[in-house]
Amino acid sequence: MALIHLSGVTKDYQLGETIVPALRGIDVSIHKGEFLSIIGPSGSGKTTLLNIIGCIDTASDGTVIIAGNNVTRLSDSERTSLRLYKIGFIFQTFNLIPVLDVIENIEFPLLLMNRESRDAIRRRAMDLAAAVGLHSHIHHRPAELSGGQRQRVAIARALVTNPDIILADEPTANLDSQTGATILELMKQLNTTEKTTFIFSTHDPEVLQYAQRIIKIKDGKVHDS
Amino acid sequence: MLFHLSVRNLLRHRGKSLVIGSILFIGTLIMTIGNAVISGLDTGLALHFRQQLCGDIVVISSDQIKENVFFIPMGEAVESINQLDEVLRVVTQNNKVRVALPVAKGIVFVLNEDGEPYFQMLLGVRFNDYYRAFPDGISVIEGHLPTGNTRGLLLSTKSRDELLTFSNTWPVPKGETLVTANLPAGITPNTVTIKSEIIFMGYSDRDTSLDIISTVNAIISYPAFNQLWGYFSIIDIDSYNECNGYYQPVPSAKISAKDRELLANYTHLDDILFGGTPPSHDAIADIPPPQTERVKSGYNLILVKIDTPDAIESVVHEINHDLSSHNLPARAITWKAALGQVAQMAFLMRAVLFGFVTIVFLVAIIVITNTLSLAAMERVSEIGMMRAIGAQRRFVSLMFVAETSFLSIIFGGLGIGVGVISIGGLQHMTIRTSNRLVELFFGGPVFRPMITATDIGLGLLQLGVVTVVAVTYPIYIARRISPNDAISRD
Ligand SMILES: Nc1ncnc2c1ncn2[C@@H]1O[C@H](COP(=O)(O)OP(=O)(O)O)[C@@H](O)[C@H]1O
Ligand SMILES: [Mg+2]
Repeated sequence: MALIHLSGVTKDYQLGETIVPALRGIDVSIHKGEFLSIIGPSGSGKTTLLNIIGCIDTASDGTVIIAGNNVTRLSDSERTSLRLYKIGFIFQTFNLIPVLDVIENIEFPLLLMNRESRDAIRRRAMDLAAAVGLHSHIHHRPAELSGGQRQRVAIARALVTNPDIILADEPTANLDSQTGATILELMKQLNTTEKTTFIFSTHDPEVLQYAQRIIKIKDGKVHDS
Repeated sequence: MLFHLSVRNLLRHRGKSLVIGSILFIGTLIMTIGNAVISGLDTGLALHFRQQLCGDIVVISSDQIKENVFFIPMGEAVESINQLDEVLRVVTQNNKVRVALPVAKGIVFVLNEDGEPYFQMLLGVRFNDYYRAFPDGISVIEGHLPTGNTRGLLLSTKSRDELLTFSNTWPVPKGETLVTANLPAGITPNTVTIKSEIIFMGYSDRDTSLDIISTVNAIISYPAFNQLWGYFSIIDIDSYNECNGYYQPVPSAKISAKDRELLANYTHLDDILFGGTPPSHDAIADIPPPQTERVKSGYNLILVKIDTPDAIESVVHEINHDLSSHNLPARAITWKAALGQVAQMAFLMRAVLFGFVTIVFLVAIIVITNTLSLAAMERVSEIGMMRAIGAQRRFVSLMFVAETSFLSIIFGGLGIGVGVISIGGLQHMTIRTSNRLVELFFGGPVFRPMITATDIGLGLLQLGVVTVVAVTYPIYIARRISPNDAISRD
């Protein structure tokens, strides 16, 4: 069974009087451990697709099954739990908590889970900080970090819960190409060592060289994968 | 973690925290002081009016329609209480009644050679009973209080001022020397007539009223509400009754049947004194019994003090029940009712103060709601991100509650604390007034705001209500932030 299974997924946005079809029937299956890129021009529906996979948004129609859960039937609270326990997010604009320092930002999802001792949480966060090369910056606030460093924090935060899936919507769009490349290399490396499924979107063809599998999307439809 | 996050957020949004904090601080400060002033007002009014001037309950005649018996317009007499002894007995039978003091309250004329006669309000009492009922009720300015059932007059400073105005007379207690220091500015002993006697003329429709000469024993003032109560001078009841034409209580049992017939034969003293034919027996039978058999005295109020001042209403109820079951023509009313507008003024002050506190309360809620709602909207992407990575709505709510609670506890606590300290300071400052209105507002001559545990509890409750109400709408907004709001779209 696929980790992620979408069939006939559509998404319509209401924009005043008109209905904007963002996704027009997506059928996709993604397996555990994949390192997959969703590529397509701006406005093609990449973000919408990732949001639906990440249970941040709901499909207008079709079936979405994530790690065995039929997402369309879940309550807000259940979807939130699914996000917390099964999915990690890396955002284009990094999205860290400004008042928390690096290590606290990384710990945040574990504290929400509230399952382990503070010590265990801190140890796990320290490991991840080291893994993304930020062990010397753990007490810096996000504002004191560069874009690349912030995205490393975001990666560490996404990984800290040991999720089944990590979703990254254009993770390198706000970084220079060299920093972007190191971020992708880091993601690739973690994909290998942690066996975490990575799904990232991009409209930059250069990024594609890192992808193990590519889904091309245009006007809300998958072209070939 | 919530603690951590809240504190950091408060520090990060220092400006807003300070705005909300200041509102909470000022709000709780005003609330604390306001509550203390209200408490002081209540306690002061009770202390002064009830303990020193009019008692807790006033018993009046059933014929007395208007209940505001103390400050009714000039000239309107308060109906005398018939069957006073029985009424007194019934009233004092109530085991909560500690003191029941009959008082004759009325108006007489002051006669003077030079000017027009003018009014004087008098309270006719038995002095000893009065002192016992209101031990702290009067301050002696000059002279000595008479003791026993002697005749005499305790002239109020306000009455003396009026005598000076109307007849250029300056009464000095009998046997005392003039205290020049008490003379108003600009008045010298040579320019006024110094006197120890005042001539009162009864002001009533009884043709039996007399002019009496009353000797001043003391010049007094009332420690509280002198501007209001100072219109009353205190006179012995016998002089009062004589002056107003009430007969002295004459026990009818002492008149033998024979004497009564004799008296009946000579009802018209004029006839006896100035000749003429005595009326026939038949004619006498038609003459109604003289009023004096029913109303023997001018007593028209019974000032009652009770042991359970918090249960005034129920004691009033009990006394009224007892009076009506004994078929007595009297009824009990509360001190507030008896004071009429004066008490209402005080309660109006209380209402105004309460209204002010409520407005502060509402303004605090509005400003805090506004600021927090804006804060929630400003933090949409941050909160959306938290939701996206797995924070439940409950967590978002708790974050807002924690942040607001912190501000409430710190700044509200500070407000209450500073309030309590300021009240302590105000109590030591002894702010006095002799202004009638301000005195009502203060609940007495000295501004004595009071902090009670109840007030602090009330302040905390108000703070809690403000916090809960103010945070409700912002939480509603924050909870509606969806994880989608964390996503940037191009
Ligand atoms: N909230 C929205 N309301 C209306 N239209 C939207 C909304 N979000 C996305 N769209 C539209 O859906 C389409 C797909 O958008 P998106 O998924 O963001 O594309 P991409 O990420 O590939 O640039 C676009 O036409 C966009 O304008
Ligand atoms: Mg996009």
